[in-house]
Amino acid sequence: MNALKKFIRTGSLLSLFTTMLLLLSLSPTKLLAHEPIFGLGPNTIFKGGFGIETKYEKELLTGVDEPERTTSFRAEIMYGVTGDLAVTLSVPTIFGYTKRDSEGSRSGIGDISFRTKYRFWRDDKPGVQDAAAVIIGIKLPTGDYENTPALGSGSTDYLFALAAARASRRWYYFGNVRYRLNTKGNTIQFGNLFLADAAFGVRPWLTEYLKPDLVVMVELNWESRQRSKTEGQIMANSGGDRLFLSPGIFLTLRNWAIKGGVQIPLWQKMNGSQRETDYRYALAIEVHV
Amino acid sequence: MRKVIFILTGLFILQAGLFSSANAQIKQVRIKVNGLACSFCAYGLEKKLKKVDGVGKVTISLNDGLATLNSKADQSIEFANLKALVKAAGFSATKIAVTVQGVVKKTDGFYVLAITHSEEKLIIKNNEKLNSLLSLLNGAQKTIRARGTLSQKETSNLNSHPFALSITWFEIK
Repeated sequence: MNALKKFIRTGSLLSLFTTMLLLLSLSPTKLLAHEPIFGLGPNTIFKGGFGIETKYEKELLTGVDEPERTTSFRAEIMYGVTGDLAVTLSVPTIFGYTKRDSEGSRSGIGDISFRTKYRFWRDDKPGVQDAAAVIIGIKLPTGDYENTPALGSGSTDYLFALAAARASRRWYYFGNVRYRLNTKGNTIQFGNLFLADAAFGVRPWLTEYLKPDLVVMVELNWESRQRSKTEGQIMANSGGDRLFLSPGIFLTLRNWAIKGGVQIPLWQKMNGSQRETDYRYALAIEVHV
Repeated sequence: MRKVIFILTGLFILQAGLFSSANAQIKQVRIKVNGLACSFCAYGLEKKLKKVDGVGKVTISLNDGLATLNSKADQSIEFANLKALVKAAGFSATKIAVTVQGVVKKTDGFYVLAITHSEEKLIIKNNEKLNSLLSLLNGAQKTIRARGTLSQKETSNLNSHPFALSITWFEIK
């Protein structure tokens, strides 16, 4: 308990958990190429189709004590139940987590999550698709949370999201809100997380099917986390707000896609003494079969 | 001798009928697809349409919002579920145009195009030019090659003919 209090005082443990949870929560349903990399879109996959994505993510936080670097590798598989309903299983593997020398780094499976996305509205016009979807998800405490650095939160958490978009041959517009309801884990109940994203994309060249297709996108990502609690007490060094500007690209060829983006912090207001994000980036390969 | 001639004549007529039936088929289908914005999304459409019976090649034009299905040699494209398949791929089919060859018959006062390979029949929507031409032929069954658009039938008393064909061009074979 003394060690725990020490961590809380320095903000280290919380910062560690926050980093990890943010990484896990930043990808609620990214599967499908022409959706924001860090935000969310309403697209699903064709009925009976599988989408498989592998994603590499990295984040650097600095400002308090030594820098933290988190690297994760995520595998996701999506299945189209209908043309408007999809289910997704996400398995993150966290590795190369380095913190202080005394804590070292760990790797292993993180918290597995399961999501379902229902596109409840769709309006198709020539070369244009307007759509909106609701997403509900659950994150299970499958990652090791008893050792430090932890790989999971130790809690079962829930995701609720609403996403809308207009996709056309030339332009893309996305908007979404997400709320993550966290329950109590082993000793800590992490603060709930609210995210809102807006994205704008353009296809510079209107290439035809079976030709390489490039879309350039810029996102604005806002994250707001409530303070966490332990033993009924609010943790001072927890929670806060961040705003990111995130340029990204999508390059697709038939059923293959490569996408990548960088999150650059525009503004951060973290409570108490916590590290701030220097950057995050993500690179993913996706295939539909 | 007369019996032999009668049998040979019968066989000749039967063979001629089979020949015209064997050429009856939907050779090409062009589907106007709404909501088609990106090539990655179009893969699902291609995959769905390639599974349709009789389809040999699928071509998708994103800029025209068009999916073109060409039949395999000597096969007819099964068109009954095309709209549902486009929906399952996440899009909307607004217009289905076909290039078809089949035998025209008059049934219950309607001209019907029988497509033997698909076991489908199409009511031919009122086409004055075709009607007058077929009337002149005095009810004889004729094979025609035509282009036109498909729509759900508007006539309720012909349960065996679920689709109607609005012919925009035809030729009698």
